Amino acid sequence: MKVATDVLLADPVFQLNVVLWTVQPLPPTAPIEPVLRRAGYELHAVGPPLPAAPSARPALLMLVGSADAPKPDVVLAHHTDPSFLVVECKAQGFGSGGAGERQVVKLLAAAHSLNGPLGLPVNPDRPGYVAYLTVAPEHSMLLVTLLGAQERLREEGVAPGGAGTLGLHAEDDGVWVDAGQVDEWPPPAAAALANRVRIVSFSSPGEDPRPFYLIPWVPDVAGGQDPQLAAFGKAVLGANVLNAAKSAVGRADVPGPVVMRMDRLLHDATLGVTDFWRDRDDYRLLLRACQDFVARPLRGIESRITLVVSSGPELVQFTLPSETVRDEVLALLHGASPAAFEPSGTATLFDVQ
Amino acid sequence: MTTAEGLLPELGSRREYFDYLDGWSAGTVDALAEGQSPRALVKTYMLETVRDGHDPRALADRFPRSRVRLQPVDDESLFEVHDLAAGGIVGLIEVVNERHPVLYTQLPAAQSDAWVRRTVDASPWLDRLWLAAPTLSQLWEYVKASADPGRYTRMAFEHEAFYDRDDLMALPIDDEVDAAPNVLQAEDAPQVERRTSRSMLVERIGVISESLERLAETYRPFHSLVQLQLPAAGRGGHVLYHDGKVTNRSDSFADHRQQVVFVTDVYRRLTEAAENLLWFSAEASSAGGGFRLRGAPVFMRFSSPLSAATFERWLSAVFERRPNRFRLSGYVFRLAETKAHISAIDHHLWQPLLLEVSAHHLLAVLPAGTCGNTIHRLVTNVQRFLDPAVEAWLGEERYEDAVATVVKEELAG
Repeated sequence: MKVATDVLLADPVFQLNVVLWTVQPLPPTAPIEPVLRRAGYELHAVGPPLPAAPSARPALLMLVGSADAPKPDVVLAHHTDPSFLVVECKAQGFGSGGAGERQVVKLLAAAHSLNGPLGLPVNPDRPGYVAYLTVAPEHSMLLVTLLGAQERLREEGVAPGGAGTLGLHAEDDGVWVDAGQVDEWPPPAAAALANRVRIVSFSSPGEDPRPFYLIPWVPDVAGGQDPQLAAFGKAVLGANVLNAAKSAVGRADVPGPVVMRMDRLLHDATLGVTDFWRDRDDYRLLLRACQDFVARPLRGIESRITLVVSSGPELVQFTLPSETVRDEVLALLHGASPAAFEPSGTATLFDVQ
Repeated sequence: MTTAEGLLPELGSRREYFDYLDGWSAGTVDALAEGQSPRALVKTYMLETVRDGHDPRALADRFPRSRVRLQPVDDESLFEVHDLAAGGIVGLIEVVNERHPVLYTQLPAAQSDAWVRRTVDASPWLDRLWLAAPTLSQLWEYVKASADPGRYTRMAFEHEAFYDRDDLMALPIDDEVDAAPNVLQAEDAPQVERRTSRSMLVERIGVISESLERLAETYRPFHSLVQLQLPAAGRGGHVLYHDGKVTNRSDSFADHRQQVVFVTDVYRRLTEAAENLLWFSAEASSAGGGFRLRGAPVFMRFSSPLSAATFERWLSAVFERRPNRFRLSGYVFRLAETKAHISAIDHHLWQPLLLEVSAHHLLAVLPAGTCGNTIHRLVTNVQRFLDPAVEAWLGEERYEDAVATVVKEELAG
């Protein structure tokens, strides 16, 4: 599946995974440069809600009409520097007055001190530095929006957190990230990003820049993705679900029953990320889609394996009378198309604006 | 006391069995020294089960019960292995540590190799130990440090450029599957023309020590170490194979067993340290909501890029053909001619594995719970069939350095 590089660079799932890889332990010969890990950062949280201090909420209500907690994509912590990096990924830049800026204002208000939002001891003070990642050169315009939001907060007597932007662009040798002016970034990040950094290396010009996706599908951003990329993420999740089902079948005692719990299957298929999805009603819709997806290939032999699909969305169960039937079930699951997975619902992981 | 086929007699206790194997070892090695070997050597097969707490099955239930029955001897650490088809005791299983039972047998090699292969293949709860070249290389460092340089050892190197073949997909499945363990001994195997390197050195430790590095610099297959003889405390030694087999070529079963325990302990430390580092999973952040992802990838950098044709053949053979040498299958998402993301599953242990493969590298993500043995097998197979000089990393640490660390820890007690 060939996708234009500029479409990929603006894709929020691509951006999220690139950020995740910048703090993973990788050898020097890997095609991804874990630039922030080498600067001393590690992943603190994905999608944490960051409620602003109670004292800032009246001002937030007045400025943006809500004091709800924003949920940035990623928060990174440093081994020694007290400042967190609060990273938010965006397909493009934006100006003032829209939903994007409302999120900026709330993030900046919360970032002044993250001790409260992250449930940390009162001392020492742990501020946040808000970094928006988008495509270059839009990050330059976005910086103007962030600085403007800081100013609006100050005018209302709310001290904002620091703010900066990162721009992605591709060249023949890879994907580069540019932070522009880094004077006000926390020192370790400033040192790492003072010069533009190649974070994905190509072995030949025009190579597909996608790193391996640790989170291939994010329900609340899928609707806004390029359709081809949304389908890709969904199919990867579908493949992981099928493999989780095959794992349960392959390890079952024969003859004997196989009982698959859909929440467990999704847990296994997503490295446990679905355990943290919010909006339980929508999560149930996802479980139902998963149940239908796993049971569908087995319908042709349902009487032979006594297939039972629970009326609730929790279970698919059947019996394996022999090794031959086990092989047949495995072959049916293997032959299913991952692209046929149609997860429904919009369980939320992040803010979508 | 025994049958011609190498079945063990029924004895009453651990001591009687070990005395029997000790006597058998001495007699066999004496015969070898005289140039006659009417008897089969005692062989050990080191096996992998699962990490403590990851499966409640008893050891006996991890073997295919329709054919194999384990009968305790004295206590639950030693078992007679009754094979219904063979009609007797094919060997003894000792639980040298909870994760790694080992099989002692005196069946002829062809029979014992086939028995172990058949048994392991039939159970998703059993695997062999996979001693990848970096592991054997670190054990070679141990040999140099622990034996007189004047002692003899033997080392074997093997690389088969299996995926360079144009006719790969036309091969019968048996040829694809037959990874030919211990192929250096398979003198009667049919000869197939492909780029294959098999070399054996039998030489003094000091002499090999002086020349091995230079050999590997000039000829890449010398990176792919598949056999190493650990010198015994007395005469002879114990030949370790990459697939977890150990042949006792010493005159002491007690010494043989000690070396086996040492290697399995090193392997267990390595596997569990790797699992602790590698297992990817989401977990709650300390407070305030959100989650973090813990884990590290396995990364392999090929010493030179695979050709587009080799890459294609490898991908097709492994993920479109079942069974295959890597014992994997999966759903391949092609991103470019020589780059793909793969949702894979290990057909042996039925555990998922997430891969990125390109002409330049292989990156693997292990979901929490996936047995670390899968990684050892992957490294071993890449080295044997794709690139003898591949460089493997566990996160930021070279695989070889990780092995060196656990060998040091084991030696320090």
